[in-house]
Amino acid sequence: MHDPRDPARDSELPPASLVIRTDFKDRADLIAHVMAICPWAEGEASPIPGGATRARELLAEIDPVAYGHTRNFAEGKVTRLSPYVSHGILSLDEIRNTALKGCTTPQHATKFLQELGWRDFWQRVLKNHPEWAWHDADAYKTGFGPEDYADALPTDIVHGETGVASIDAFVRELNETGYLHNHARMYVASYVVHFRRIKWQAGARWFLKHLLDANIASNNLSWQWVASTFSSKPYIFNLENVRKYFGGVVDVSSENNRPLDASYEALEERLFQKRRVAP
Amino acid sequence: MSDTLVWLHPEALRCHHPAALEAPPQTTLVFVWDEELFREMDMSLKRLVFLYESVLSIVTSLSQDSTEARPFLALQGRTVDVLAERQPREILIPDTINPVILARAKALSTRFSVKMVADHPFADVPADRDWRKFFDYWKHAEKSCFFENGTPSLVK
Repeated sequence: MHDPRDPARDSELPPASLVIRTDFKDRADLIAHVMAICPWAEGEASPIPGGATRARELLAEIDPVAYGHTRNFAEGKVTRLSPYVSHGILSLDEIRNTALKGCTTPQHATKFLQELGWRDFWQRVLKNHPEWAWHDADAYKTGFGPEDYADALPTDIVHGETGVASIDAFVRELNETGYLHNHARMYVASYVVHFRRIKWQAGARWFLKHLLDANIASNNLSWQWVASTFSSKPYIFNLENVRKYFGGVVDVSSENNRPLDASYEALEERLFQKRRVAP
Repeated sequence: MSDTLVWLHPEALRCHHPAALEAPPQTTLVFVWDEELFREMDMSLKRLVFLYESVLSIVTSLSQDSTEARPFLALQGRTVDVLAERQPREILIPDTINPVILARAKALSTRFSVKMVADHPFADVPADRDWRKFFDYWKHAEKSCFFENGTPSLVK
């Protein structure tokens, strides 16, 4: 049985402190260990590795200019740095400094820096209003009140079995990897809140459980933004939008995405039937 | 008894965080594998594995870098109990907005001197402004965030 004490440090450690195990023959061994010590934890491990090595590899690959042009597309030049930022392995400052070094003029990094700025913005908002982590910052602008939204996520959403092919693909990716393109997160959040009329808090809680880059400010306030409780209008999308940005990556056929296959006008009519006039 | 400790919590896993840099040399940096904390944060297995790998990465890099002066301990237990056992005079904690981590910081502050230490800033914006719209924030942030370290400099 593995002795968790570090013999070299026995003389320094108080008796009750245990050192975590650090000798693993491979990743599978580490995963088995975590499963053994945390048998309550749900799901599977992600193929995305933690730690500074991968973080620095990704940091070296960032292309702020290409990011600016392609960031909304499924296969755009997104950095995938967010899990490492959320764990403090990299700071926004360090990423910014690296991005600027890769640009001939700083303005070429505008879209990239704005995206870092969004993260900083969310942190500052929540620092000033910690209650907004789980309470509506404002009323819904959908014509509905909180009482019209269900409290819990149905299992078909959680398991990616909604029958809406693109949404199910995104949910599977979330469940399997703990990472989702930001645009896909907006689609899923909008589907949950507006197409299925479920409280944003249920969706936010679900994302926090599984996202490797779980950050309560970015995540929860983004859900509020989609829901319209922290924005001037609800965010909705349609199949045409998914085709434009994720066609070729997920099933975007009309027959397999029927609830999404409508114009924005038709969706607004369907989803926000009791629209109240905003003050 | 140790004078100063730095608690590297799950959102601050690097030995060159300003909290660690501010601490006196030879200050012990401590990470705590605190299952109670992780259950409160409702972490899935994938999050726990990522976290464990990230901590292991620190242990591995320190074993390869003999120039790092600060000892790093990755311990297992309840955060408050583990840190309290070392009877620090002061605990430096990387600042966070995570309410679960903040609750632990608050519990520690009832027994020890606790200082929350901010990370290197992304931009120089008024800390006390009540930001509601991103582009209001951005009008301020863009004055500094296009410069290395967020600091406009006249020196090229």
